[in-house]
Amino acid sequence: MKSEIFYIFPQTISKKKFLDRFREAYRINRAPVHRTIRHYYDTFDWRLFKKQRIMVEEENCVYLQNMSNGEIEIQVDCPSVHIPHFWWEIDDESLRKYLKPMTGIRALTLMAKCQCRIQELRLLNEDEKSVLMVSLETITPMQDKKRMGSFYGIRLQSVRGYFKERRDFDRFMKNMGIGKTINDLLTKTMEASGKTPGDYSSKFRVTLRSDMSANDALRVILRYLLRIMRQNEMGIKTDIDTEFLHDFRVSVRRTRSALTQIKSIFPADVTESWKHNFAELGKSTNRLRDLDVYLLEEQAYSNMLPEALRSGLDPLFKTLQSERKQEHRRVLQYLNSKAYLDLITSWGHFLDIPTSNEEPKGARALIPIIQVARGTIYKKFKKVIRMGKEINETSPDKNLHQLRIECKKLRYLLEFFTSLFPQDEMAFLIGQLKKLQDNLGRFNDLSIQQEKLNHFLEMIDVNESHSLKIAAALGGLISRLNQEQCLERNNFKARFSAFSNPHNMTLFKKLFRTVSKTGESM
Amino acid sequence: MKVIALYSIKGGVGKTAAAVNLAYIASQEKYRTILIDLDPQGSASYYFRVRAKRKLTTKNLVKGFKNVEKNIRGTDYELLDSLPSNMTFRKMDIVLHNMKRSKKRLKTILKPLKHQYDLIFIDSPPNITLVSENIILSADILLIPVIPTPLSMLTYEKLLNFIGNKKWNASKITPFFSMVEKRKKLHREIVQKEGSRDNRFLKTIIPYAADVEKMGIYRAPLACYRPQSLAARAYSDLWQELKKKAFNT
Repeated sequence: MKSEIFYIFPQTISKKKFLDRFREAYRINRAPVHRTIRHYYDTFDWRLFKKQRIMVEEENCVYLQNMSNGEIEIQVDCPSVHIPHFWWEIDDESLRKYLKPMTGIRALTLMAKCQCRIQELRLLNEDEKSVLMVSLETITPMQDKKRMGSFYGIRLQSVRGYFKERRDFDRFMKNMGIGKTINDLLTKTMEASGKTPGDYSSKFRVTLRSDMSANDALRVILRYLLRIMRQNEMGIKTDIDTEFLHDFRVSVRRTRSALTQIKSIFPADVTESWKHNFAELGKSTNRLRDLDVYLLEEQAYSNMLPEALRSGLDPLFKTLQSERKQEHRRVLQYLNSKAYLDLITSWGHFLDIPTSNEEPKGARALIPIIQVARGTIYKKFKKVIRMGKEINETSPDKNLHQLRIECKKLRYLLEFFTSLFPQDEMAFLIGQLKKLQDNLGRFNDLSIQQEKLNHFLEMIDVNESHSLKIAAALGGLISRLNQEQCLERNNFKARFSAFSNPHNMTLFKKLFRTVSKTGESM
Repeated sequence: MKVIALYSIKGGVGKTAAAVNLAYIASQEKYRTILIDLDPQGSASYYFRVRAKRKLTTKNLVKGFKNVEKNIRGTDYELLDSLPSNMTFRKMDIVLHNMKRSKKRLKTILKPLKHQYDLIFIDSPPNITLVSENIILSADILLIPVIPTPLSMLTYEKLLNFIGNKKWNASKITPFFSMVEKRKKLHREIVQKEGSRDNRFLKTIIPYAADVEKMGIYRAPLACYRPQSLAARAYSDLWQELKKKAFNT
């Protein structure tokens, strides 16, 4: 496949200066100037950018370029300018296959747009053969309909077998003081369009200092979570994909978890009232998320059933789909309501109150965060170990559900405070915990799904014509899910003993156990 | 990947013109294409304005793929590459003669190109030697230009006998009439008679045209400078017919 490299002119070099020097040095063939509009696509969380890929639509053609080596890895014709949101909606099979592992369930959205004036200048040798494809581009990024400041650059495409000419040209550009890049082209275009590549991630990433007061640190954590919520609002409202709501809800959950677990930083009544508010906020989006999860599972459910029973699911999913439409409208109204806006703004104001302020504080507000972090994590860890050890073959499912919740709390704590401890050890422990969580999470999902399907089963109107078929499909699914749940349950013991192995225990102790002055562990 | 070799025992029958034009048309249809010029005269390379590096001698070529890879050159056209010819290719026969598996060397050399190209065109030297045998054995389609004259027909018959005697797969033999002058009665008669007798002949006829000879002046495929000419359209039809045979579509 072909590869392309880009050179951006520094401010000191004008187009004319470049062209003069270029004409002096080379024999060239100028093609007529043409103009195009270039569209850049990525998912909201920059999945392509994070994998070093750029997706561009230009002149009825879509291509993906690898930023690390400039290679155009795939290029397909697309007669319509409209790029579908999801990989499964794309017509071209090779592009679909390429994007599937890259974008997953996230939608592709337009990230930036620019106008380009392209002057092709082919470098010729003594046989008048093109040995290097050079195009001089004037790039004008657009923000909505407004044109931003232009910049100039050279796009270079090598011709196979003409390495020496390519090397010579590199040297020529270096002598002119023009550096090569691919990343900068994207970054520059994005920035002019008001975007920063990679600025969003659903992962929690906050840097704390160990000598910060607990009050300050908690506010940093909560402010970060608030920002994530706000960043996702628009995507939820316009209903681009399901992950906006998911990330929003995770942030709400993390906020509640931080308020509950990192105790005595704010006055008790203040904490209680915010906890209540965020619990309500979470609740108001529960139903929409549930519906999203079912609809995402549609294909998987269908695959679980024998062919003959599959059509029984259709009426069910149709109902769910129309219910989702209604529910989305309700959430949209809520997000646009004064109540929501008031909650979010006053929360923001509250978080911005500086520590020096005379406001009443909780008992541990001024302790260094490192102490609070150690104590809180270690306490939660001990609880997880205690609960896990108590679970045996005869324990009720309820116990596993409770353990799952405690693990989640521990996970949040580890993530909140990651920056205070050695990175590799934290990453290792989080990885160990994640394996246990995966097992518990699947177990829980399977039991909830069965519960919900049972609920559907009870709601079936026996007088309707196709209800028998629906019932058969649901029955098939429930028994299938139940089998899988048993398998997960059988796996639990091994997963838990892997998590609680002596090495992990020692590491948890080493990192988080606080020792009192008398030498007793706390 | 399909290998299409332009081959004829006789020279001056329109091999190179066909190879260059067909390869160009195929690449325009988004087939990743390479034209390998094994003719030491290097006319195909000349049309594409490519020269071989000095290091690409026969010895290096038959020795292995790495040398082939290094010497592939992009043409001025997207998706179309070329492997230029070299004067030392005239000694290829002698080099091959002293090697083991001397008839299947080319096939081995081409194998690694499979993943890079959908189509390989080979322009062969006009004779019948060990090199020719290599070409015949490695081709999926042996495309043979035949001028409708008694002498040309005779040479074609000889080739059929040669392949027949060796008991090689004869289904790859694909002749077509080349450099046909409609105003000549003899040409018309032979095309009529032989074309209906031997159903291997492709239906498309490439006319004799001054435009084709001008490829040497423009140093480009016909479609680039005379896209509407009769000959350009004939090559395009020939490709459509050939494509059906090559890809069973």
